[in-house]
Amino acid sequence: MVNQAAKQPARIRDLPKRVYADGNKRPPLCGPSVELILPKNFSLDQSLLIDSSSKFLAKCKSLEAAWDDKSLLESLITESHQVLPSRIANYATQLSMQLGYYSPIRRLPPEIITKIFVFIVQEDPISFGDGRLDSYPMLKTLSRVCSLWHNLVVSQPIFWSYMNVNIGHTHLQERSFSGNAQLDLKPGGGIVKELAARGARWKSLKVSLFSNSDMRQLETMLKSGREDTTAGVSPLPVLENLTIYGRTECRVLHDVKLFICCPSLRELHILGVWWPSSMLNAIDVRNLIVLESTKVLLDFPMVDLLKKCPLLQTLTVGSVFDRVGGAPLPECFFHRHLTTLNLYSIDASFPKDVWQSIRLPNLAYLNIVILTMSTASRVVASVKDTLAALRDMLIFSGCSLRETSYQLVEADGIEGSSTDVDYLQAFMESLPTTGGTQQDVGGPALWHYLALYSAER
Amino acid sequence: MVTLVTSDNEKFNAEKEVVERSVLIKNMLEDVGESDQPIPLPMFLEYCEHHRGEPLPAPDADTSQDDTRKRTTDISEWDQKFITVDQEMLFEIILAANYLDIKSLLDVGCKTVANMIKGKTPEEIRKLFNIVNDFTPRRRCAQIKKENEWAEDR
Repeated sequence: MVNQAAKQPARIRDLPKRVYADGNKRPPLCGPSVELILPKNFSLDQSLLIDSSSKFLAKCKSLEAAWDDKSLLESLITESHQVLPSRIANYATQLSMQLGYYSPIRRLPPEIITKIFVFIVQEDPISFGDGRLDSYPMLKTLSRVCSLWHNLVVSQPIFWSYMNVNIGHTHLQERSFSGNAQLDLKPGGGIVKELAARGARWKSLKVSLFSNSDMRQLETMLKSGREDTTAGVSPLPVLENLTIYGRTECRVLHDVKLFICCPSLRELHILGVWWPSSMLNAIDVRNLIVLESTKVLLDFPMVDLLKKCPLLQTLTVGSVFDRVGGAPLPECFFHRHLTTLNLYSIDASFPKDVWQSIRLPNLAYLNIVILTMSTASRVVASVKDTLAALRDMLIFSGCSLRETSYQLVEADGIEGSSTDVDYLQAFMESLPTTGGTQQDVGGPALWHYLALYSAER
Repeated sequence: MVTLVTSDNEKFNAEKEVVERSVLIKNMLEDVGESDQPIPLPMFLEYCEHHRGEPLPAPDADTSQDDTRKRTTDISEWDQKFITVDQEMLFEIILAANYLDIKSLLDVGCKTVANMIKGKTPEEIRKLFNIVNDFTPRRRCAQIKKENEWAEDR
């Protein structure tokens, strides 16, 4: 018995005995009783019997063990059927995780991911209104993608330095209810005050103005918040980029004292509000590289404006109202840094002799937007005179334009013929250019009148 | 003319002015001087050829992270067509532009990825780039709690 048991595979031997419903640990052995089979005169060799019995019992044992083994295997298979799907799903998850670590975006180093995030965040920065945090949707989204991105978002101060701050203008409806009554506004909660205290770190500022008093409020806050109150010390010493949006209520910008002393100013954008060019007399614009203004009241000739900004590379002007005009200077002024000139909203009011004393020898990019939202005859006049003066200036400057483009903004529904397009194209090609001309037509425009202009020329 | 050799030994000839849009190659040319020795390089001639003559950014412009403040995610039409490739190639271009120090191309690549991300939920971003959500449930809860705490702490 011992030997037989020893010969059995270890796994069978070690298997637990199965207990059946009737309490037996094995199925009953089959077959008739020994006494019933043997004849009465049967002489038995006892030793042989013992041997056979032991062999028989051993066979039974092994059969019993096999039966147990089979039952166990059956139970294991059943169990496997139940467990397998979840295990497969688990392995699939692990596999996708492993593959995820090899996804192409994982190859980008953190500094490039940071660069990508900056592009995203600068268009969707943190917003504060009335001193409360409104939202920071993109940062939140980015930080929830994976742990790597989360760590990046929370560890880079640059993402958190883009902020939109609304000072006291979130309740416009209430303001309109108040009619003409004087308002006693106390804008700025904790956040705005904190930000004002950090004015010395402001690098870029975009201000939406509803009235000129808004600028004074901002100035007051900055002065009250700053630690160094020495007279003459700029509250915005590192401000490089200033954008002022004028809302409908703010038509003319007067109060610019705040920005008089911004020694680091490189970009100035004044949009949607008329501003006197005398402002340039006050502000230090010697280091200005980009100047954009949609509405300029010229208190002095354009040439003086360019002289004040000797490093200017990009000039964008919209409506220009030249109060001065005047005779050309005896000597032309050569501005050698200007490479890009964008002229928006050219219409009848655009002064035709604005370029007469200016030469731009290194101009490479010229973009023109012709505004056709006036009567046809006025547009013709403006196109004819202004463009002619501009072309003369370009030719006399000796510049070689690399790229030119023009756009006609939707007019008063005047339709032109396709041949008129050729005329305008011909005009653009008559400019001293080495590159192509891009055409962007905003709607039915003034092809007919431009053709007349071209014919005259 | 300069001879450029790709990693699989294909040779290209290009004008010096074109290949010098890569600061790395410009520096290599300066180091090598006038020589007939070919310079190893993958394919970026098309991009550099198109942007030939455009003013190069200041040498130190990319040393500061802050210069990215001035940019937007607008991409010119030509650049957009150039960069319309599958994801794997897009990231290859970004990595190569970074290695070759072609600032404008790196910007175009990064802006493209930024435009792909904008307006999407975290789940959509994960799906788009095959990124694994490796936050544990506990960490996810803690993260949300912490974010809300920060927002309400006014």
